[in-house]
Amino acid sequence: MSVLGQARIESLLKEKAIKDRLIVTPLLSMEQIQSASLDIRLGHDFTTTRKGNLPYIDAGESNFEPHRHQSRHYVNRAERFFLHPHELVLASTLEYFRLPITISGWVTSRSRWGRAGLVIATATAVHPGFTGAITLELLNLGEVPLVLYPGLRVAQLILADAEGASEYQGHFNFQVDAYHADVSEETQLDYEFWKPTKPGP
Amino acid sequence: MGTLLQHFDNAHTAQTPRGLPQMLGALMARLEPNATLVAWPQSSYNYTIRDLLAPLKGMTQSLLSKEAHQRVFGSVAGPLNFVSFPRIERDNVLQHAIFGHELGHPLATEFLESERTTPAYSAALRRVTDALMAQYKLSTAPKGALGGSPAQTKAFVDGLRRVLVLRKRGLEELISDCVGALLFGPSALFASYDILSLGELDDPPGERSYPPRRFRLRVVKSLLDAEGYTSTLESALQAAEPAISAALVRYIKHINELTAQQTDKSNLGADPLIKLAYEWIEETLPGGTDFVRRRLESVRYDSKRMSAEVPELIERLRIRVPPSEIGVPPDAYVIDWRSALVAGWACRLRMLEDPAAGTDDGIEQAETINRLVLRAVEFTILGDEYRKFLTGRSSA
Repeated sequence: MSVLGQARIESLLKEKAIKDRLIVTPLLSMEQIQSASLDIRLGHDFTTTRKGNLPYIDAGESNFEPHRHQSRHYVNRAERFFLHPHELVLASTLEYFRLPITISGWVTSRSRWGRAGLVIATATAVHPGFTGAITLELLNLGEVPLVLYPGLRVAQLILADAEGASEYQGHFNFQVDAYHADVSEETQLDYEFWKPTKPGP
Repeated sequence: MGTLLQHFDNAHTAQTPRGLPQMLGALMARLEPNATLVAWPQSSYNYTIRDLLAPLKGMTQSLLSKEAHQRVFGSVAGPLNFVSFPRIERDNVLQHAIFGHELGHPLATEFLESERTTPAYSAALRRVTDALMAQYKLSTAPKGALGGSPAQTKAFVDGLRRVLVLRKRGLEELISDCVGALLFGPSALFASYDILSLGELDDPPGERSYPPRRFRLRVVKSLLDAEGYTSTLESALQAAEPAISAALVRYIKHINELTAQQTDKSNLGADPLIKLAYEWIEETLPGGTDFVRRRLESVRYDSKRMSAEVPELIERLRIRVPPSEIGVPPDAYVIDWRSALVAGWACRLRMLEDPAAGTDDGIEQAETINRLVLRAVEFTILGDEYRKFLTGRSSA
């Protein structure tokens, strides 16, 4: 596996055949392409958790009701979003991506934001063929609220060659914004074996 | 005030896809630069636009001192347009082409006000008056008076009023339809058909005095044909997207067959008052169309851009990428976002012929197209704003 450098990223963005092209839209500035990564921007959509409506999350129970669990917020350009200490908020990238089947990626924080206490993504893998906006799991590990704006380059996508991959066909393909997912959705069969048999709290 | 406030209930962003106000704002900024816009999803199935400023000013006039009133409203230069749309259609971005019609209402009003002083209007009014007098067997002799019984005179006055209302309401809708067609091109036709085909096509004007649905479709279709939109789109897609082009041709042919039937006109002719009003409408409509064509010269959707942009945008939609640009970075070309709507419609029409249409999978596919087109609208407008920002910064 080799990480793609600037020239390879640019070349993939310009690939003639659309199915083999790395698509990043909108790519507002070519300066987002770094020596071996691509800066990605914070989008406008934020999803917070309605804590009062969510006693716990248990993958073994199908009690997921998005309208009760999440609250969605849209932040206009040049408006603020306050991320409070130890708060988990989902946000989508401004950019919408399509990775060719030969490329995979992972999302990581940018150093300057990491130093401010912002963790940007915990589930960082982006599969070959993934098509959609990437969900960022924002967490403020610092002691004071962080002020975020849509458009900030808060994360970076590192790309690498992938061999023998099959195209991503998962649940999050073609997503355009961030939302909580039902962790119990794909695990019922497996969880029959693993989940606790006694009732939950 | 309570009625007014309830309009704002549920107007929060989770209920209103942001591409919608952006789309309307972008059009409004070019049509009426001083206007402010509020978009509101409503439970009833209706698209409307109305100016809130005048009623707000009126309502608060007796509550505020003259100075306070001036302080509040003095700085508001243009209308405060309140746009409502059916909540059930909030994510159905392709259907939002119907807003072209709504944005057309102020222009239709402007035309109707401007024509009142023209000799053509006076002559037509005289002709209609004479026809009604003959119908109600009224004589103009002695000079200047209506010779007839009070009942006859009342019937005449009611009849004239009805003709004037029918004509005004009819022209308001039809001229607004023309504005929609010029602003959105083929998307206006497809969106209109989606809505108009929900009811009886040949019903004559009822309580609200709307023109028959078939009549409206015919007006939109004729204007699009005359402006070359339909033929341009068909030929642009023929080589690049044969399957989609074939579906589009079949759909347009279906609308052609519907509008070729004249059953609506037969119904209009059955009532003498409606007949008079619609003869007058048909006489006036070409002038109204010319009026809006002139007014929209710099804002209308350019069929050449449609032809250049839509095929590649469909290619992007096929791989489920927002149809927001063509070409590759750094030379990616920012499209007219109305092309994204046309590309979305072209895909949808093809999907309607798919055996999966109407199944869960088909519905999911259609919703994905909607989401991507909505994102494309947002990206296009954002891209424009960003470029203007960069240009402004480099020239400063």
